[in-house]
Amino acid sequence: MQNKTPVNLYHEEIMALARSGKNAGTIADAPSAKKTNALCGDECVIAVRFAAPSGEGGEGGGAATVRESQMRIAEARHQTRGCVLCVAAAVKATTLAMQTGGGMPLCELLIGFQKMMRGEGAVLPELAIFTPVIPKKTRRTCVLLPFEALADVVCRH
Amino acid sequence: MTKTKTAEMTAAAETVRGNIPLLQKSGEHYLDNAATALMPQTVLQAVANYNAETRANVGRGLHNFAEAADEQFAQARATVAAALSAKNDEIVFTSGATAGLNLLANALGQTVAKNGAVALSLGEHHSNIVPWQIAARRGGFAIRFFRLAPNGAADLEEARRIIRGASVVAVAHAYNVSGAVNDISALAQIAKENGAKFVVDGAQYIPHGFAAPEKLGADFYVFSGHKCYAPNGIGVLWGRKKSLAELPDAIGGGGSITEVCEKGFSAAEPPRRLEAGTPPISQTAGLAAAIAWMQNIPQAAKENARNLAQSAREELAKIPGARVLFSGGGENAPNVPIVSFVVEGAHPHDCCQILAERGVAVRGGHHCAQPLMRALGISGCVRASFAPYNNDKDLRALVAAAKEAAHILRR
Repeated sequence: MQNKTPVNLYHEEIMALARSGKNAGTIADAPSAKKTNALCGDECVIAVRFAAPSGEGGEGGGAATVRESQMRIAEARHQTRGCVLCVAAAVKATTLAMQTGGGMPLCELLIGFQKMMRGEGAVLPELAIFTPVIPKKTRRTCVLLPFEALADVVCRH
Repeated sequence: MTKTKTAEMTAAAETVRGNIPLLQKSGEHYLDNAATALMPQTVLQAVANYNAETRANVGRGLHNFAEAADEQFAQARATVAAALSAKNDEIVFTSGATAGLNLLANALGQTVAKNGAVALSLGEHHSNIVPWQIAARRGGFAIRFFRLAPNGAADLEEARRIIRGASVVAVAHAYNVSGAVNDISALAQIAKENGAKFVVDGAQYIPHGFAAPEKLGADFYVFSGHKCYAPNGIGVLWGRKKSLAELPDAIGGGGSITEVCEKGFSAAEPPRRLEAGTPPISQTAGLAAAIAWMQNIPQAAKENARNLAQSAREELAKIPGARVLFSGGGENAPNVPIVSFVVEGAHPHDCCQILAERGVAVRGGHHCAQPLMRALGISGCVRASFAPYNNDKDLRALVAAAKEAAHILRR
């Protein structure tokens, strides 16, 4: 599955992600961002808990001086009221946020994904499951919504 | 129903279908007519003829092209007026029902007292809610809503309670989600008893039959061309002559005045007073042709569309997980052929996408009726809307694709 580009919009991996319930929920007192799809009213809230990078965030170690955008993402959660594509994208976005840990790798991934979904950039292997959505312009928003919320929360904090 | 009757209806639908070039080119099962209806050849030709043969602006020029355009424009107004059993000077051309409602909300909103209210039903399209909300924000008055009955039409008892003391009542003739046709005469009577102006949104009704707004008791009536086989960008606002004349100024520009000086202006008489700027002239040619075409749609084809919708209601309800919204139909609850449904656990856009991949064009989402969606406890639904050119193949494709969607998407 990983090596094959899916053609069907509702392929097995997308459906499995959407049904998984993975990373669903909130994080108390954590920075969050909400995005709404004006077309259908779907909503996605992404919440992120940052952890200071090792060596800088210790006790009395000047954590307040460390920009959160340079901090590691320790946990990411989503609350999504949306279609299969939106929920699957929210699971993927929060998973990748934790896997990359944030910072530049995540920012590059988010920019690359925007380009990929506009059909202007290379297909990112870790997000290739969304390739069938690219020709469906109206549905691109469904997939991008959680990633835009993630970008908001990461960039803002 | 007899076999002969069924055969008659099927044949009528196929005849109407033969008039629609897009359906000759494509095998699409087009069931999104409540959003935009397809244009027959005569309408396409009328628009092309105007642009090829006259093209000029109206009400201004003295040359030959201008005179021909004026003639065509006046004829279009007369055609619309006759269809609505109205007088020519009661017909205002707009860019659509939304524009008509905005114009009315802008104008009538100025007449509502600060402690007054506008009454709407919960089933209204956003185009009959948001303009009033904007006017209310400016004028400081309240917006009050009355709910729908289980058959999807306005609950008249609650309407009577909510309308009390309102200055304006605005309601759909037929709803875009439930398809139910409101008892406009009864609502008009309630509005009249309260001294309220009565505005009717006919966008979903007119495609299925011409209304006589004056006879129904309306003060104003709007509809869009694109839902009744005419081009985009054309709509009609009908108003009683006196009601139109009494509207406060809400729009201005070229053509809407008799004189302008540095100190102010004198407004023209309606309808031109309410048609500032160059009107959608080619679209009026298309609208007139569409009305002429609609007047010739065989009754059997219209019945066929209603029967297809009723069959869709019954067949969709049998799909595990599918739920048809509103009871529909019946002698006491007339409906336009619109069927809305949800598949439990599935998002309407996912359903629509799967239907689209199988060549079935339907609409999904909140249908610009979010207050109704909230009242129903759903975020959206799927809507199939039928026209006299739809046939049994369209129905079967809808049901088969909906079954597949339910199978793929149910969680």
